Amino acid sequence: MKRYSAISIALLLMLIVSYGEAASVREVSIDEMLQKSQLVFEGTAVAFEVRENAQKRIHTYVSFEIRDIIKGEYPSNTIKLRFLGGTMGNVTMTVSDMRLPQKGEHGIYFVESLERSQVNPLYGWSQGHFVVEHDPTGNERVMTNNRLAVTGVTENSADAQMTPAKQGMQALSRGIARDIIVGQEKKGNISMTVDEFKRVLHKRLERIQ
Amino acid sequence: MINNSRHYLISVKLTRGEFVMTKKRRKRVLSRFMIAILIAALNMLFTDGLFSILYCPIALPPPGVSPANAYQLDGFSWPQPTTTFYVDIPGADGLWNDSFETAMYSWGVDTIFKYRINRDIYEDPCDLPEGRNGVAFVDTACGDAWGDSTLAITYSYHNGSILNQVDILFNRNDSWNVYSTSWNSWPWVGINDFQRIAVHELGHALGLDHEDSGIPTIMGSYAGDTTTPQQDDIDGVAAIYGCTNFFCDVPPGYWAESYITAIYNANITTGCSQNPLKYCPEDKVTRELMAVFITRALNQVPADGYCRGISPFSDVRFDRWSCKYIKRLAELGITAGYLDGRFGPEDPVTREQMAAFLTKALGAVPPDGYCGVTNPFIDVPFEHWSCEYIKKLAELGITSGYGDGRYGPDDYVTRAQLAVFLSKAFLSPG
Repeated sequence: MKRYSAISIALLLMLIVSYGEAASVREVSIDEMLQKSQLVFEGTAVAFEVRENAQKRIHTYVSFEIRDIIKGEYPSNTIKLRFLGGTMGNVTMTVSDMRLPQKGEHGIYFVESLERSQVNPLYGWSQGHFVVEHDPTGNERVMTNNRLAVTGVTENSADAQMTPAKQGMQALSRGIARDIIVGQEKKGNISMTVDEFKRVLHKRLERIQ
Repeated sequence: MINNSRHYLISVKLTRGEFVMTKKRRKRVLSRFMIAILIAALNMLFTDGLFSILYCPIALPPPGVSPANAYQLDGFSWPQPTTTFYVDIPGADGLWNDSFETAMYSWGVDTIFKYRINRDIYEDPCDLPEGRNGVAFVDTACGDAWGDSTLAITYSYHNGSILNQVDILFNRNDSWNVYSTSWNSWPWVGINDFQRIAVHELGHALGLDHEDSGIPTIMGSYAGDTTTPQQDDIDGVAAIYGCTNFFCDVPPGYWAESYITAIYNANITTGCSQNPLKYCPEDKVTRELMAVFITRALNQVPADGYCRGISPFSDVRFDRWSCKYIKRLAELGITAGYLDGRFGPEDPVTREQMAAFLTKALGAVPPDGYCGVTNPFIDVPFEHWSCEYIKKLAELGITSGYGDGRYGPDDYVTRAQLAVFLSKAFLSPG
């Protein structure tokens, strides 16, 4: 009896002890991103503009040409997103952990809110920011923001699998949403194609909506 | 929502105190709890070890080549290795102020960078940039919504690569406290550790970027339970601002400091890392590294491509980085390799091997039976193969052993010891 009590306490401890991360953004799941993002789209970053407001805060406005909308509605085929930070004259304002899209970048973007101006408009920062690259055969493949190959998405929602104890916990972001499976190598040809990835997102959307 | 109290843990205890416990029962529960912690700790130890094997193979860098530093730099820095934060974060009986100050201090423990503090003077981090660094809990990130997942951010203003101002903002809408146990672990589930994130953000504030290669660092976006700057972070700061010592890892007064400096000045070593400059004094010396050092000391370094497509030993390919040194060492008669035709380039050098190499390099090889029937050191029997070399080395004044009568023939040579051996063997005093 005593032994069972000790083991059960140990199991409980194992459940609630997790590895922490020192970053400023919470880790999110793909389902949470899909649920809480107002707009999810595939597009290309086509123009950049840097502005300084009255408080001398510098923002970078990135215009995207929308190719496909995965979730939500948007009345135009271009959208402008505002990211905090940028260079104005000699002064650069950098925000730690912020990874702005690059000019000409083709990607899939999870926009948290179309109404609010946020530090980073993408849900979970880098977690809601996927980049599409061509493999040597010309196929469009999905990479994470830091160019790791997205090889899959876990079948069951990480949120659903979590115990109540774990659901209360919030790990911090390592730049990749919780359900995304990445290859250790930065090779495009092992990652999902854009169509495969979007199919998974649509399927997940159907399930959670 | 800030957990605005130092008494969070106590309140948990009080809640649990509702159960009436007898002394005997308390003792029993405590012993079970201790067993449970032991099991959990063993589990963590095991999984950590397994993780290391699966994902973090530790590859030793080629000897003589800089070990890979993993730190990432933001590309901007302060003009001097110091800056001042104005710290007045109200609430929690000064807990936030104390913790932020501790976080600032942690960066100065092993680096040249010193954060200075103007305590109890508030500097609004959302004010116009005017060269004063501030920190605060705020409802919005200076007008921009935090978003659902953002806990804290660091704003850095810089002209080119020179920092002018840094502000650190914490999301007031989230739950915070200060603890040093595992992130988000009981009883801190759902609560962020303010101090750990402050240390991380202060790392950004002095010019470090995220580092995700898997080695211990406070700058990882996935940093485990790290709460203070680690060696790689310290190296990163040294790469930006330099360090107090000539070799960052050879502190003033280190027992072999003068010998290490001497062989550096004689171009026998270039250190084990260039930026920051390090010597790695406690690292073991491999046989190929020893070949490098001895050929340099003898001014016998051959030109590149010296092996000309021919491998001098079965385990030293002609295109190996150290081939030319090993080949030259063999030509000089200082080594013949192992009896099976191998050289063992990555094998560590023992102190008895070192004695043989050095006496040969100095042209002072003693005759057979040089030890007679006397042991030169208590752990070097006169009939042992290396006795004559060790005795000769002692007679030349290159070694006096460990000072307790032992020589340690089977002990591996460290880079610090190598510096002493080489200085005494090849460099004139002074």
